Amino acid sequence: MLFIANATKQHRVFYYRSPEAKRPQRLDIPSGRQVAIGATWPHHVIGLVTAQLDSFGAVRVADVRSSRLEKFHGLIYSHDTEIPAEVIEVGHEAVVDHQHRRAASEAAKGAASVDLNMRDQKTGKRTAKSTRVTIKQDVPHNVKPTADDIDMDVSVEEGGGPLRLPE
Amino acid sequence: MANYFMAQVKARPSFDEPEIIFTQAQASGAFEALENSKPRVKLSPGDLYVYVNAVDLRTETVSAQSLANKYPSATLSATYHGTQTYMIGARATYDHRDMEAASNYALALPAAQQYACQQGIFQQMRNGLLYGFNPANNEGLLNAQGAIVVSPPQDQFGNTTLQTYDSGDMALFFLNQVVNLRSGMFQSGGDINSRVVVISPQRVFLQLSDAAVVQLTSYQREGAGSMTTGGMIKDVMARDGSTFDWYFDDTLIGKGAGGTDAVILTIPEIKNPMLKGTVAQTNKFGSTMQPSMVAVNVMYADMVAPLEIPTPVPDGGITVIYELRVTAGWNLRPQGIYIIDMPY
Repeated sequence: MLFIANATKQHRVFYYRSPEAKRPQRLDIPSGRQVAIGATWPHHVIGLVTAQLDSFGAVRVADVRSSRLEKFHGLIYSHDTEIPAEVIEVGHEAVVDHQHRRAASEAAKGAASVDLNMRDQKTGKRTAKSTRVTIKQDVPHNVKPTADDIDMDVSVEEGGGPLRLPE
Repeated sequence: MANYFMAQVKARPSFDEPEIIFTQAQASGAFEALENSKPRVKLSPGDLYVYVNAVDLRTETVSAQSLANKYPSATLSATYHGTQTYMIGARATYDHRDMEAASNYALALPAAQQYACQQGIFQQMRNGLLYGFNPANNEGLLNAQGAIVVSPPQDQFGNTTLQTYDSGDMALFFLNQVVNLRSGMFQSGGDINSRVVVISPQRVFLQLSDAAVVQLTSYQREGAGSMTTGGMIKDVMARDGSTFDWYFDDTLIGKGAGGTDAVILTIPEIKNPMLKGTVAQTNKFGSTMQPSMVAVNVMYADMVAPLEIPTPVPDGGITVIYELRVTAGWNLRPQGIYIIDMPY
């Protein structure tokens, strides 16, 4: 038996092939839930379907427990035992963390590309001494600013350090 | 901020070509996923949040041969949704010497700085549209709550990647997703046709639309030997008047699950069918009540182009700031967006 959990806020449709069926099969895994398939499957079929899950970044329960979750997209599987709720919760936090890093990386890359666009074609030399891009979330007057408010400021200066992307 | 235009040493006689080689960035098609292909320019400069009201209904009725003693009634329940706005800014600083140096390259520096800053802001808008500024709030189309994420199965020969996938199987996979998308949104029947928009990396859509010719088989297959996967999908969809358009954004490379490419499939606006001769419209409430939000994906902005504020600085320079207030990409109807994880 193969248990598959969806730790995202999105509805997951997983199409897979197994040897006993000629056509691809559709498995719906609603947000935050787990489904069980293959109660009658022999081990090698479970292995074949697991391999298809692997190619879409699914991880084992043990990987969630040991926090090996880089660029995690939310599919968790387990052979023969149900996936505990807290594992799905931890997985969801990893998904949100990845989404944050992804957004920050793309924003930083976009800011850096402003500098790239201002470079000389032949020499690659920068035509601006410095370029700067900011993204700011204005907080309402009656609300206290928190560390979670969006405030990005990327400057490219001569003699500055390398741009380290969050992901 | 100062600009770098070095002096030139050239031979004479010579010919100076007036056209300049400018760096080309990708022209992202991501905004095509928005209602009417563009942000809603409705914000006032100081608006910090955008709210949308929503009304749901459950109507109970009674049916009996004789008049009932007690009539049930309709339940209307209202809620509202909100999203934050963000200010995107960029700055350019230059003086008369920079302009003079740039003019040696036949370049108008104020215009160059203006377009460069605008491009930076528009790129951040694209990032906000796809990935959100604060994804924990479900901002960004890829993070849309309740969106349907789909992964393609192996094709009939066991191939899994886009480059090896059977072209006909891929076309049928896409058409099936369009059927799921349209039926999930009730966008079928009557005179309804849909504008289906796909945003994918170039390498995905060019492979499907220009390279992957549907293979000939021993049985009749749509477009076999004559059409690409993309051509066949378009052709089949055109038969009921629907359109299927590809746009690209290369930042989607590697953004799907497990390092796959993310492909967004969406219908940006909903329509209501005109059912001929039907007086009993079972979607009377939804199709008639106004003002009705038809958008599936929205993004709000306070201006169509960034506000430009030039200020003189000491010693003959000028500093120009550009700013635009936007929301992130906001999906209002999650049934209307499919994210396909496409292994390349």
